[in-house]
Amino acid sequence: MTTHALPLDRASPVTVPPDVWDADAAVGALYAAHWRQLVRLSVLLVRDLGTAEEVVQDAFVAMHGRWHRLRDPDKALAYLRQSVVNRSRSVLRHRGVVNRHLAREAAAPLPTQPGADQAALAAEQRGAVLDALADLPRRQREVLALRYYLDLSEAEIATTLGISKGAVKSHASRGVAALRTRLAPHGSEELR
Amino acid sequence: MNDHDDDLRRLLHDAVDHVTPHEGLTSIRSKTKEKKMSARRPVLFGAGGAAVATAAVIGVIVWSGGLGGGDDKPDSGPASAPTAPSATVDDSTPSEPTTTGSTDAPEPSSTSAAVPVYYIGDTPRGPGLYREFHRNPDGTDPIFAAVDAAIRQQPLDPDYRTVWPEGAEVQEIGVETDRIVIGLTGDLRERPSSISAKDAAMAVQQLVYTAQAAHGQGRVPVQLTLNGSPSDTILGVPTAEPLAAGKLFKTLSLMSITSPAEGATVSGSFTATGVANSFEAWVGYQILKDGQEVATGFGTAEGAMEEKLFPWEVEVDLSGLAPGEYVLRFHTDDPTGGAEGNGPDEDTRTIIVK
Repeated sequence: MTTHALPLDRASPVTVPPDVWDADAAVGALYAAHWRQLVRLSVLLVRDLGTAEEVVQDAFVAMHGRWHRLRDPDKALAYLRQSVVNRSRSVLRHRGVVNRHLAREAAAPLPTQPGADQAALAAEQRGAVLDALADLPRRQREVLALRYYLDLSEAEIATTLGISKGAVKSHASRGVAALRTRLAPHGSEELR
Repeated sequence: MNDHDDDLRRLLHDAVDHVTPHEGLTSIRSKTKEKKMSARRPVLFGAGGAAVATAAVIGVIVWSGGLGGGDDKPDSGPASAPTAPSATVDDSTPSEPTTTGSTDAPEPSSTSAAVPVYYIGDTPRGPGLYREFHRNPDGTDPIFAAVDAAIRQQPLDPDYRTVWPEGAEVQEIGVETDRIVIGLTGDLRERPSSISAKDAAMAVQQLVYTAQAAHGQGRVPVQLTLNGSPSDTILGVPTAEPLAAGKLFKTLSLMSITSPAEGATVSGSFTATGVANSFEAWVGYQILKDGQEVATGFGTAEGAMEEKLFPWEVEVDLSGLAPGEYVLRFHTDDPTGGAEGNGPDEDTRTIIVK
């Protein structure tokens, strides 16, 4: 159900295999395959589309600068993920708690009238999920996003976040429990 | 994965799958072009079949040019920290060992063979830090692996020590644009009476130096947290603010052997490596049998007179030595012959000559 597009097939000239891509070609190919998914990952972490786009752009620029050492689409993708998570974290820190709440308000869906239509209800639910994620401790939020949005394994999450596999497990289980608690008042059927 | 996991998966996907990012490639391209224009990457990659080889060479040029980060060798790379800013080049993060090879580690999905770990030892100026390299075979994040080793593993060299109390643990490592965060857990706020104030200060610096070296991006400040939040003190040492690496002469041993490792078996002659800061870059060694000198020699480090440690490589000649256990002692020069100051800095290894 997730879109695990292979990094290779789409953007690059078919004749050039990835191991001889230059940095520009690598950026082009990985952008085509992963831009959307990485921005969405960052939205889960920072709650704001404009910020997420900047974060992911900067991650691509950094990857471009390191391509001579990565030289492998899988490594480059792992690097991009890690970079996106780290940069999202820095953005949050610098934005500060107060601003984060303001931004959350600003980004929240328009208040819906009682009895609003299906689409508005869906929007509200989406907002509730993002709010609940934003309220979680940072590590729990990161682990949940990597595990349930990107479908990464425990080992991959541990590497991405620089924590042990045991810590991934405990953040995941605490995060799931906390998310459930937070979403219960919103009548989220899914988490019962 | 059970149904419950599927629910969460659907929930997170629902939350963002409607998000349609704007086109971003144009902006990325203009930023990467900017970098090229400013000569940060002086050479573009070659084309076709030559590209791979060219890229490898360029990698060396680019890194030794001190562009991206503070490591002193192209393959001592960072990367657990994509976000770190270009730090000042600082060679006091010593060079990687030549014997253990493959320190190409920190790329996110590759595995790291060895991580730098600092331990406390004694120097003529009191306790100081020495560096060892420890294996990291399972590819744990290098900063995590290194800091964890600094706290919980015994040093390979019995002359060194770690003084972190039982129960001290690193919970997590966070790499941010302007700092490395080390999350510790344990009852660590106060200094236990069993640990001297100097050792406690060194224990904190041990983590700063270890994290910076494993990170490989120069002297990025290190924030310690305790049980989830910043703490005014850890082991009685002020830690509320991000910490800078302590001054070289007050913190590090001026002589540190990288290879051979403790207990290594050697024969014929071999190249020892390490880092030092010594008068006129002079690096001396003795081979001792039961405390008696049986051979001596010397070499030079790559420099002196600056506040950093310089790499050295010295050929050690074992000819004429009977098989058996010896102590290899490397030491800095003491131009006063002990008349002034504290005497030379030294580091020792037990070696087995066969």
